[in-house]
Amino acid sequence: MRLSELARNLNYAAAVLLLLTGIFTVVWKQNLIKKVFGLIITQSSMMLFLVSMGLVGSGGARIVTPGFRASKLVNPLPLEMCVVIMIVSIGLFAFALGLCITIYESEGTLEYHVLTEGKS
Amino acid sequence: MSLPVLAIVTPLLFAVLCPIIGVRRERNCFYAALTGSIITAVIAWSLAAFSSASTIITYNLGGWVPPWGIQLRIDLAGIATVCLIATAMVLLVVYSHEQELEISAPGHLSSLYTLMMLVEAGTIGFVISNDLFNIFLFMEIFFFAACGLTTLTREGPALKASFRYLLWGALSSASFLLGIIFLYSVTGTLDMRKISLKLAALNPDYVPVAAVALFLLLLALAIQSAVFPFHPGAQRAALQSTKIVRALLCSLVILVPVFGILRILGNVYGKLLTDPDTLWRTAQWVIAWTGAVSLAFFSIKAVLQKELSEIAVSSALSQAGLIVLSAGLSLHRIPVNVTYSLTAAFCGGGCLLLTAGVFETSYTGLRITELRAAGRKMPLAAIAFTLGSLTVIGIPFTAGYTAKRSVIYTCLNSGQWWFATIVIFVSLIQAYYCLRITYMLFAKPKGGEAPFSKAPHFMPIPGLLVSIASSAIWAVSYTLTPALLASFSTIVR
Repeated sequence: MRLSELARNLNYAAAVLLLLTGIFTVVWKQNLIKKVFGLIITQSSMMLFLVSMGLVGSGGARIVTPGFRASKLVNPLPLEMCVVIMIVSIGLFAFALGLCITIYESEGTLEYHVLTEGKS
Repeated sequence: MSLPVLAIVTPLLFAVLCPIIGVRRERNCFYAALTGSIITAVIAWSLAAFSSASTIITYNLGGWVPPWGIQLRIDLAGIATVCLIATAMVLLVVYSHEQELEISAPGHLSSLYTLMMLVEAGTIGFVISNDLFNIFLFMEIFFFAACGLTTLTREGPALKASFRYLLWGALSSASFLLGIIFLYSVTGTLDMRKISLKLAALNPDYVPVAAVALFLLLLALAIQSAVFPFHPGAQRAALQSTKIVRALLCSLVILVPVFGILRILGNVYGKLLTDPDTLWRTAQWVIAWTGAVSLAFFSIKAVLQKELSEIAVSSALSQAGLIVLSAGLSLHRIPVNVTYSLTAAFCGGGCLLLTAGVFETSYTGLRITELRAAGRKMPLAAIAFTLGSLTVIGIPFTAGYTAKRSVIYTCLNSGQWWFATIVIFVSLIQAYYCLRITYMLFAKPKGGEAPFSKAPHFMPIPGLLVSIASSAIWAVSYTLTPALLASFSTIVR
């Protein structure tokens, strides 16, 4: 891929990089909190991907203001999807972190390999 | 007609009401959940009364027509699945009575029934929504509720299993979301019907993107359905849960995403895949072999297990493999194969899980050897287990026979005789482990019996009703099959 193409698609490249980082963190890291952060990074990459798809050059927001021109507007649907994904993510991570707290109170550790050694 | 949206809103409403009703006396949550599940079942069967082979019941949320709004769209296969979910939830709520009331941890009952109602709302919404992103949201609803249910015991092994289940599910959600994003990028819409039309006229340069999206969506559903090799999270979570949660997980939460495969292949990709080309052949090969391997793996695993609950869970997961296999055989027979496999999985696998829970309540140990002559003390549960076993094996006059007959017929018609061989071989394995347990249940006692305390008297009733329903489904199948076959044209319409 040429550098000019990469520069034009920098958003998507960043999204892919974040996605790989998130998946690596979930799979490789042993600490439960770090795994949860890996999931957060993965979700963020999805949102960056979505927002990038909705971008239209120098398009503006779909909000009618003085001097508003309807010629070039950003696609609002991906942004709306991002909001919904954020809300879902809040629930997911609140549950996940609450589960981590409960596991720590029960087992006294947050290391995944230690927890799974005494196989349940 | 507002019935489709009422089918989702009713359990959601009772999910909110359960903790409120349970403030003064927590046992009232049971009655609230029972009322909610019965009302939802009435709504589901009312939908069935309006249906026919060519019927598509639609409802636009808020009156907004797609693409401005979200549409609920139900065909015959969807109605059958919604009826199955609603009826299953009534039986599960009844099944939970008394055994759950013994767990006196504060907040346990309101949490249990609230989350059960959320699972019901999520699964019904997943089946009937026509918007891909909405399907993702409903999948998240029932998945999170299921995760919450697996943590109810607050014991160490259950919490660890729940966290692992959460990780797998989160990866599945990410995969599903990425698939939706790719589909949206090439079609510009989230309405499944419009996606289907746009995919049929897709620029050939964008077909690889659609193919990757298909792979990601199916991968997500495969993880949610706990097919091999994506099973560790769900399987371990099911084994560490209480009896009711195990039955709910293996009969609804794991099976309903497999129905999603029908939605994706039929409603979304149906028009693109009906032209014979490499995309369908590749997808078919992957789906069918994944299902076949999962079916065989869990059946063999069930033989090697020594505890009844482990056998029941493995058996239920093997049924999920059968449904996946049935989805990958023939596109035109997909409504028939998936619907019958789903009902057989619920009737057979669900019955085994429910009755395993009855025996678990009565005996301290769950090893098969400790169940010797258990049928003499609990005849109803033993009869239910036997009838459920016949469904799992695929004996005539059961839903299992209908499902396996349909799958084998499709295999032989399409020249895929190797899958038919696998199904028959697996049926023999299932016969071995099911009949082995049935023999132990009705065998003469040999002295030195395991400690026994009788389960609540109506606990075996849901299992018995499910096993009787299996025969009813067999009886109805001869009139239902032509209607389901004809409904494929409505699925891709």
